[in-house]
Amino acid sequence: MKKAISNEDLMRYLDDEMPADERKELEEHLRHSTELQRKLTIYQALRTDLRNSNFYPANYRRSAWDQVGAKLTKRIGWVLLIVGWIILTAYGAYFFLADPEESSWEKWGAGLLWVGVLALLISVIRERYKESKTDPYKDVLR
Amino acid sequence: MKVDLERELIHKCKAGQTRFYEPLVRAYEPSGIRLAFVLLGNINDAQDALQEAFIKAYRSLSQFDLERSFGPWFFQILRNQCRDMLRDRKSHVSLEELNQEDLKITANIEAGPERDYECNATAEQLWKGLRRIGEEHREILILKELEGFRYAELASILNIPKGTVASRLYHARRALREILLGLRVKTEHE
Repeated sequence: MKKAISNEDLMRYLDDEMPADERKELEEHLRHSTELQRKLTIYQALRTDLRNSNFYPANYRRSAWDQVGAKLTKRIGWVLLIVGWIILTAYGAYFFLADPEESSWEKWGAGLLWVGVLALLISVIRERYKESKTDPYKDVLR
Repeated sequence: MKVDLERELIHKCKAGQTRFYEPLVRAYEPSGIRLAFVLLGNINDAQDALQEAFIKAYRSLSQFDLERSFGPWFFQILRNQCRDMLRDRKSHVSLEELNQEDLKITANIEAGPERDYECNATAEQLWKGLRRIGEEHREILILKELEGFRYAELASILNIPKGTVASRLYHARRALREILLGLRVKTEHE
């Protein structure tokens, strides 16, 4: 027997994390040391008790996917909606502004109207976003 | 879940097919909720932490190395989420005050009524013991004994060197044993 057995060695032996040669050496120590046998038995019993216990919340019903799936899909929906809207708006604005038949008054009027609508929309979205971050009931199913 | 199937599912999720994430969520939900519940001490916080961890994991899948196993990686995210919640929300509900009805203290083994009673009593003592040891000790014991992770996996989940795992496990087991001894002495005196 070469070296003394540390508590960490005992844990590695107990958890089957020891190479075969070290394992053999520790078993040799075990044969000669009742103190080591006592320690090992204690931790083996503790491990068995823990493994035999079930710390599972009693009233939990599996539902994570309902919430997770909804959140992931919602995000994708928003991204697609915003991208589509930006493309269409840019396309329409380009043709409208480039059209020589429209007067500059009409172009300015329509432009300001759109900027106003956009500013209001952004402020509403920002408010809703802030609310959703602090709303304690956001995940309650309606 | 088989490793090949898991890889295939992750591969499809990485390609943006959200529906292939469902089997992964369903597979890891039971062990995930148990870990979150034991760490956070109440079922509502545990559910929030679990959902948030699944969402964060999905959004980080692009960085996920398919050669790794999903389980330890996901548990690392979940454990960090639980820690953040404990810090941010100050939801460190005293585990002493935990509603016993939330907890199903049952034995995992099939046995007769007498043995059943004995096992349930042991499980209850263990729960009380786990309440009293530190968060660091509690998490490593749950991950090792209930989820069965190997040392290398524990090191990656807990973000510690592999060499530290044995030492932390020893201290956790010793702390739990000392508390259990104290509880037994107390029960005998009552």
